[in-house]
Amino acid sequence: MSMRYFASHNMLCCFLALLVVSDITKANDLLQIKEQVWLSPNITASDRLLALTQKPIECLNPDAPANVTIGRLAFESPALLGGQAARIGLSCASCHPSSRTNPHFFLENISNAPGTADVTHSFFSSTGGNDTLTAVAIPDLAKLNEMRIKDRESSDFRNKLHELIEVEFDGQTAPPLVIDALQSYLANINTQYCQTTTQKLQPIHLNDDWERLNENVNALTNYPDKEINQLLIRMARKRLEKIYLRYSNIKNQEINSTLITLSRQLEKLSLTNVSHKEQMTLIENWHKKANTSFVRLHQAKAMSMYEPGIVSKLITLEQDNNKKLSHK
Amino acid sequence: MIVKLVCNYNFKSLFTERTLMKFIRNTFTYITISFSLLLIMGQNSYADGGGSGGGIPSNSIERFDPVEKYQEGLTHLKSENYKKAQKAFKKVLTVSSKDANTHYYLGIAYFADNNPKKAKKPFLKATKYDKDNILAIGYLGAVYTQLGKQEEALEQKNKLENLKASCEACAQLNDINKSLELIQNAEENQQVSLLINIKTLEVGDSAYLSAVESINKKDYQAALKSLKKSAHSFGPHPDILTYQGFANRKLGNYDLAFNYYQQALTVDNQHRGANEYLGEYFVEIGDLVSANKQLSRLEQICDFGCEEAEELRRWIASANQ
Repeated sequence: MSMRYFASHNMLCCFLALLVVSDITKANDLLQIKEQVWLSPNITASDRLLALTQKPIECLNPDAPANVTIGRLAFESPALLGGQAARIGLSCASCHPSSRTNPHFFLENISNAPGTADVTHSFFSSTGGNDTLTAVAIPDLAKLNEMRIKDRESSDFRNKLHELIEVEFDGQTAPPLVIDALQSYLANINTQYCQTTTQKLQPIHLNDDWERLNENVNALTNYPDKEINQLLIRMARKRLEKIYLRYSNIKNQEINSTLITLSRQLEKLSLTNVSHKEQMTLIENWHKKANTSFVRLHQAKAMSMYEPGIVSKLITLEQDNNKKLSHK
Repeated sequence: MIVKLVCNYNFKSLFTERTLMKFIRNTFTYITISFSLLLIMGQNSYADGGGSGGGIPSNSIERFDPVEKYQEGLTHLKSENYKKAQKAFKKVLTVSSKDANTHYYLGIAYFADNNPKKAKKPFLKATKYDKDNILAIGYLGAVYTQLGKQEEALEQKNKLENLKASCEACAQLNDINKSLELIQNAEENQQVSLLINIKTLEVGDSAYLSAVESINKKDYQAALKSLKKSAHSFGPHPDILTYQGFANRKLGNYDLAFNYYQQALTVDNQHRGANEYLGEYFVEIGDLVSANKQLSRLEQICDFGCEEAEELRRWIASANQ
């Protein structure tokens, strides 16, 4: 076939192909990571990439008691909070990733600059909020010497936790054992365990989220109390959602349905009155399913938003789309 | 080269080289065009059906985002593409027939297009669904004047005069004066200026956040005011409609609340907030059966659980105690 043929007869085909390509790449629908909600609209692309793919290294006492695991899970879950915070997927870790500080955190009417927040604002609190925006720099929780309450094992600090959860973030009263665990976790956070006060970063990784998920589900057998169980199940489901959203750009039906199935299995666990033995069986079956799922997730990880390169491309694509929309 | 190989190999007895080349060229073109068209249709529309066994009716319903369509209408209005603006706003009204702002801007799109006859109905609906839209009254008066309906025009003028009389230095005075000017210009056959004051999305967002704060402070009247402002930017947004329902419910306006929830769910039947608050509405009126249905609905929608389902569960549990 001659070049003249391609020139004259394929113009239409190329035009149609261009239309197709321009419609397929809707990056604005693909960057569905919850953390985006609390980033400034004016954030630079490089800072955005950092905020979405990196987190601070945690400064946890290596000799901390076992219950810090639950404390950390609660700290990282929107299920601990209530009201507007829970609805948008906010957790304590949103402002304090790895119990440090988030320099990119920004919410309209709550922040006056990235890295600031006003927890007394009536946006989050239906009982104790005020009108005045008094945003302060989000403190690094590992810098204990800079905190007002330095003794995190004290009743003062415990009361502060209750106030934060129930008054400032409209949460329900968490079971005492969970508050114990949360208090224990925060009491064992200190820059001295990091050997440096500087906040160093590490990648947000599927393996970490998966490890937390397993810790969460395993805790169900260690805490048979119904109220704690219900909270742990809600927390585990939220963790699954976090992972689901990181894979949402791939739009893979198999991955989506496997994560939803794991969540629904946990839901059944929460609704059914089962004996301890039956619960153990259900959890065992859940782990079997989860192990198979993890293999698949790991295979697809390079295409997911756990991969900084992918997030970077999507950010660029979104910027290009926004420019096109603004020129229309 | 390929053509020559094929001809030499198998088809020499059946085709000439020229005929084969023509066949390949045409087939390539048809396949490419068909494939491209199929992909475009798949990307641009959710409609799959058509009676040829392609899909079931529920999959064939064309879905679109009315909030995006509303924004599209506003963009066309600002660019003076009135026909396109009319089309966009009419589309919004197919899912949100009681949205006052959409009716208002549709009216303006017709009016600016020198079609007072078609502008009349949208302005009538705008004033019906939002009695505080003073400019809509002014436009309606101008439309009646242009249509030669003196009595109806006078009625609008009198409404405005009465409002002015009871408004010494109120916030609406500016709008009242502009509206009277609209009618006067129409009476004098002068060009009626278009008063398009479209609030930006940022203003809409800010108003929405203020509304949420007001709701948390239990100042529901203030919340409704902010929500109205937000709706001006966004049109029939389910978040706004849901909170309009919530605020009205808290003020005891149950029928109005129910109406807003239904509007929100018409735009997005999976909206978590609307489903939750509708459930709470049912708890408040003592219909626990319907409340539990709403809870089941939320559990179905929320694949990973959600605060909305938990909150409704607590409401139902409290009612059962």
